[in-house]
Amino acid sequence: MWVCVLGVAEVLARRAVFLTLALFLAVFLTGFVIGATGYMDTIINAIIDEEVRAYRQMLINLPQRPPTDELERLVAQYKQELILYWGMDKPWYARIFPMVLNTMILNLGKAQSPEVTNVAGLAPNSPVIDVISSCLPRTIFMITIAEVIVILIALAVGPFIVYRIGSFTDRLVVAYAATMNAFPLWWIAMVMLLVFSYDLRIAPVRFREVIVHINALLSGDITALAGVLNYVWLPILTIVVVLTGPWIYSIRAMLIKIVKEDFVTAAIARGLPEKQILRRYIMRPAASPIVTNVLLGLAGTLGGFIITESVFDWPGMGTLYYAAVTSGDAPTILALTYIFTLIYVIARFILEILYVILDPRVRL
Amino acid sequence: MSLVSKIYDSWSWIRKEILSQLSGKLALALLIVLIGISIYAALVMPPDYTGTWDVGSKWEDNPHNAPPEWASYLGYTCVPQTYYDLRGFSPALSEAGGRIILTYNITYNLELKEYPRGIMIKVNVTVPQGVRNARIRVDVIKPDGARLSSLMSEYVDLTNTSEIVLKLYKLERVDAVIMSAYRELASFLDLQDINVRPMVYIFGNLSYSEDLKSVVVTPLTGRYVFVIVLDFRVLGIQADTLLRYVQRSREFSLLVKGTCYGLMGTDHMSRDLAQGLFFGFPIALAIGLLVALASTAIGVTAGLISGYYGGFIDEFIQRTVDVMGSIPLLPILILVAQSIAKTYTGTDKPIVMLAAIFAVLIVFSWGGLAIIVRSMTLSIKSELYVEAAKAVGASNLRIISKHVLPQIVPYIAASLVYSTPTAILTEAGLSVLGIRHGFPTWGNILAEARLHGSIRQWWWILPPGLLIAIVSLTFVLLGLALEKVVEPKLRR
Repeated sequence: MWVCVLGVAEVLARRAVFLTLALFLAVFLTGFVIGATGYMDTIINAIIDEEVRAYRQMLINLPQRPPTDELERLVAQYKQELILYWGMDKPWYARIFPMVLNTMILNLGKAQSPEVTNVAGLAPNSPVIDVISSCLPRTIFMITIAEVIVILIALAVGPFIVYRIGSFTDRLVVAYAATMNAFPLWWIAMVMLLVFSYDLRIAPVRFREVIVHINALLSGDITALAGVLNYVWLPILTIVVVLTGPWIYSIRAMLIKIVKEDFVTAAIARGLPEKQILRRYIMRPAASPIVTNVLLGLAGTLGGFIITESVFDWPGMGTLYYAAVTSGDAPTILALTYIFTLIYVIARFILEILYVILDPRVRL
Repeated sequence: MSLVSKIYDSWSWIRKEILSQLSGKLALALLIVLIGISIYAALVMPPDYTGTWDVGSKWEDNPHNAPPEWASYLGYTCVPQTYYDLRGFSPALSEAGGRIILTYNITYNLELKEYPRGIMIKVNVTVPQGVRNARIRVDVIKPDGARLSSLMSEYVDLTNTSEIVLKLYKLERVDAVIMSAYRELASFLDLQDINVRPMVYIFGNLSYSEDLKSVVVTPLTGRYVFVIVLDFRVLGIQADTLLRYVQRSREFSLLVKGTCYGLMGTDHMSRDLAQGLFFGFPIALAIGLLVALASTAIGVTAGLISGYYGGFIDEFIQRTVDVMGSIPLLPILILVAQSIAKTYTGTDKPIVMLAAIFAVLIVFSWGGLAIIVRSMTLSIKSELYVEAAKAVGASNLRIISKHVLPQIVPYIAASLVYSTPTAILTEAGLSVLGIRHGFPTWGNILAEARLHGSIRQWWWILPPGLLIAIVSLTFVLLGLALEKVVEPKLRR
């Protein structure tokens, strides 16, 4: 008994080490990409140039305008200060790797670009942690809730059709799943906008305004829920329409494998009631693959659907990441990569523990 | 049996299995059509196509933001594109005081209640020595009798050259022209509106509103006359000679742009969307298949090595797959593409960006197959016939190619089928986000529709998405049919 507990503990510990390594590598790789391509330097040089230009303009507009050589000296001195402040006197790796290490210990720093804080609806230069914590609920309100609905539908329909493989309903579901697997979610989102927002005019056009309502709701104002729903119904409908098919299909596929097992055939042969077979002989062995899919699916939603959020201009995690990438905001990019990977890694680790609980064979 | 014939056997079994199902038949039919179109498009694609797609002047003859011609069945009013080759027309000639004047009267019938999208006159002619200068002027006489004098005009000095190369389409004085044509309405005309929508006033019926306080414009059908006057100042040249030169010009034409265009309509730069969509076929398929082939090749090799040799190399490959699987693909891909887009300045930027996107997609997509191939290899390796082959001294390479590889062919096929649409969808998604690599792909057309178009321009938004969906549907269906090959339990 103790040997086997130790064995499980060792397996879990090894997993933990590798997952942490993956986490570190993801952030390191991100830092490497921003640094080695020169992207971060391009952005910072642009910021410095802009600030120097503004400073020069400010000096020129002074009532007692300094003489030209004095002005040039002041501008050069200011530029030097900025270069030191941004660390541009050092090579890129000397700047990015301390940033990577800081990110790893959750010292996330401040957002550099106004585009990023704009998505969050915060003042410029807000701490990255605030930016993320204001975008995360919006992604949960749209994508995670939609995914939960999808999973519930799939879990209800999957077992229903697994007894009717080959029937008309089953074929219909498979055809629907195949079609929806082929359509890009973000394109369906564009079409939904076209139909509901622009043609029928029953959905909003500017989704970014949802910030006000979600903030009100989060501060405890239940009446703001109506406002949130007004914005959120179309994105949720879109996600449910597109993702339900593939989800039902994958649940169906997992259950079919088990339905074909001998012990199920034996149970049917013994004349056990359908419900009991489903619960005890089919759903029980299917538990670990289903739980895997559900947990990883839900964890995946927390990072937001980057393209779909961008189509709706939904101010969630996906739009935030895209704004951070396009504006070259290194601290936010690193922090988001870290959070995305962290969520995934934690989900994987929880799964490892759940396998031990769900599947007795693992404990042997 | 050789390796080739073994794989062929395995392949013909897969083919039989696929063809026995409806989804398989459908998928293969679609695939053949797609590949056929792609090959044809790749063959007829102009060599500099990527470069010319973004060049505005190539598309100037088309109306911009025009729905396709068949939109007339959907209730759109489609005024046809009308082109006059003026070289074939005979002008009225007049000669006076060192000037030769050619006057063309072109009749244009507007039959539908809609405003044409533009007027374009092109001149490309060599005139004889002795022509000092030339002035070209266009008047339009409207069905209601109003004359828009000098709607367009251009002056060419010919003292140092004998070439006239002109394109008249700008309506710089249109407000003044309309004002003087409708003097009685002048105080109610909105000059700014005339400049924003000149075509509405040129091809419209202007009248007072009911309260007599503003001007209402409605389409004016009927017979329009374009009076095109070529006025040459000459020295010792006969009118007949000059006329012959004009009639032999490289180009001399009048185009009244319609409101609909072609099979698929046009975008904001008047580009023929049918062309963009057509040449998108080979690019989409190439992206999908290249990524699929490369990641499958890597996956199979890594899986075989990992499963067959075991030990340290196995541990290393498995852990690499583990770590790669935990890193989110799309964020990294967006980051890499955007970083290169912002920092790389070479002329081969489209190629470099596409290569980088390929590389990231490939690096992140071989892991799943490697795990499957490894476990297959492990179980095959312990079979008795493999032991026997080893006992008689078969080399590793021989065992892998004779006993292992043929058995994993279905998985290789499945992996090709699954990863192709993923690559196509991901590339399109990147384009839609606004990360431009420069190739005119379907995703790129969609991206421009989001950026420059109104989302109401359905002919710009629906077809690229549908094509992307059809291509991935082909592979999804193929995958569905293959599933029963890969997973024997699903067979009934």
